[in-house]
Amino acid sequence: MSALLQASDLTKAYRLKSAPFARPAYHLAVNAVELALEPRERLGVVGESGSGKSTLGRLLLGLTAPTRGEVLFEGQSHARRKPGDWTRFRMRSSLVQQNPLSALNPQMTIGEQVAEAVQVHRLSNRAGARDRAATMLEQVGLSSGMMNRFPHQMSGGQRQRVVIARALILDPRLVVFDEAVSALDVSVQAQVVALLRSLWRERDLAYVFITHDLRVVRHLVDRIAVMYLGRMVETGDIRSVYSAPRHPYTRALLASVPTLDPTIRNIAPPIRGELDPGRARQGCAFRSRCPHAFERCEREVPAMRQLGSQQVACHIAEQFNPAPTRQMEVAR
Amino acid sequence: MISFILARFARAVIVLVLAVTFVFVILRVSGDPAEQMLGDLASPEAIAIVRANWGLDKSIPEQFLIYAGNALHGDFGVSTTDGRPVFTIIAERVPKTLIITISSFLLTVLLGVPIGILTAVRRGSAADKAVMTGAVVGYSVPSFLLGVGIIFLFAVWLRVLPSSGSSTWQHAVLPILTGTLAGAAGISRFVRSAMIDILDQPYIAAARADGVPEWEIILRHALPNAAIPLVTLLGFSAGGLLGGSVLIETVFAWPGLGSGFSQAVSYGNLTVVQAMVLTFTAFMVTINLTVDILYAVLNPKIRLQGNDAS
Repeated sequence: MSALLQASDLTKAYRLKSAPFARPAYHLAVNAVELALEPRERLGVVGESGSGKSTLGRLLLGLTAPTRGEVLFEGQSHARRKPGDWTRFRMRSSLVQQNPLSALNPQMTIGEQVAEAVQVHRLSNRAGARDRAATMLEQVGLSSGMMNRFPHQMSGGQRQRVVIARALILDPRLVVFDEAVSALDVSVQAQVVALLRSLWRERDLAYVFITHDLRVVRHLVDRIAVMYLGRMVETGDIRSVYSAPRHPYTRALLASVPTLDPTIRNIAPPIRGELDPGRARQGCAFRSRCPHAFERCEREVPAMRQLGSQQVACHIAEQFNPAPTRQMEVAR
Repeated sequence: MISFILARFARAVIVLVLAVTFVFVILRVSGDPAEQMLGDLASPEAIAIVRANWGLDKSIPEQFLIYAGNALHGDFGVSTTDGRPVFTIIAERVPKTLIITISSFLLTVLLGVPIGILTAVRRGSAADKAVMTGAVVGYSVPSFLLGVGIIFLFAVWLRVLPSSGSSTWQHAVLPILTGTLAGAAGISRFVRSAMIDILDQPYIAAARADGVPEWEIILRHALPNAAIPLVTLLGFSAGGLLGGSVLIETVFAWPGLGSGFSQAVSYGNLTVVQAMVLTFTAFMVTINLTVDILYAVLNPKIRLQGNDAS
């Protein structure tokens, strides 16, 4: 098996609060997701809040156990991992979260936090761990003189660099970036995006970049997966998905991206309303907001189908042939 | 850091002076102390003699200056009931109270903090629910009622421990137990909720993703962060134990400051009440000062005040 990371039928159900003795209700945060990631591949996962993308990230890293399905890393299933295997996996994987202030321990210095993974896995003595942390901090554009600072003494952009340094210090094969740049100002965001691109070039690193920001993600990934209510609705090469989205939801998402070009104005939002978890029971989860929904969408969950260079879960995806809603250039 | 501690220390001294002044004045304007000492049936002549003897015929500011001058030399006068030096009476009772409060406090921490951590880690489990139900009960029952219940259980029913007095170490067990149970209940509930809150923080998820072992996450990441609010609460709880000594020592006839204070108040023993209020205030101020300093030591945001980068 050549895939670095593979998820099959991955499902996470959360029990909803219900009245005593009532039949328990469940919310499917992640629903039958299939996913494979090659070494050094960069996958973007996009969707609105509540689409299950963060839960997917936690499942991939084994931070929460799936209700059904499994995740394999380098051919080994999380479910069959023994404590020692977990340690090995933890050394080869990492997590970068949204708000860098809450992602850093307010009581520990920057140096201690960046060096922690080195020390926990006994890869070096104290001084060696500090040296590695200093080198890593320099690689993310921070001076090693910041080692003795506390998180509250830094700016938001600096903190996010610290979080990235902490995630990369053991040179992992896999990183999950969960909204890693969403909390930053646009100018700082651009710097961090450039940093991530250069860090990736120098490393044997594959990552899953979870975001709701369609503009940022196109600078950072090779492939994109669109999630709606816990289901993956479309996936494929980022160029083809952005230039010819097949799923009505992807088309709506891309059409709603704001642009600075005054000749292109979206007067009416392409879809209305909010996520409706009640619709996830049967049929297509998107049908209540889909302008093209018809009778079949009510009873049958659309299966993932290969269509050209991408995979789509829509009964009538063929109708949305290449004519795109709007072109978005994909930077490389 | 040093200037922070000095500022807090100065404030503590001011609080002490204000509290003593306040009590001194209140005791003199809320009724004639001489009448309180002698009772309703005393003759006017007797009252006049007592007033002159104790200097109560002078103006209040004058009385205060004399009192403060003597107090600074360690002279707090003599007890109005038995004529013994007040300093001796306090010196006898302070260790008795400290035995009960310090032991109760240490046991409160040793019991409450681990219980809080364990219930937070096992939140939602049957053990968590059972322990927390017990904690609510322990926290809700007033200490004098708890004390009476404990006397009934151990002294009357099981007959294993003495219920009153202080002649042997066994006599200290029940008062300490009473103080500990109520305190530990509050502390464990607080530690539990603080730990649950912190264990949900993203930096805990990050540490887990880095492979930090769970016990190290709890001890190195979560506990130091929970300790900041906990120190404040421990200050309250130490103060509560001192204040509660008035009730607990009375219930167990333990001859400490608390029971001494309630006796002195009921006999109108002016000099002893004044000195005991001074002692209690000094303890409270010391506790608050300790909390403030610990707070600064534990929290880098306060420790490093003044040299922040943006």
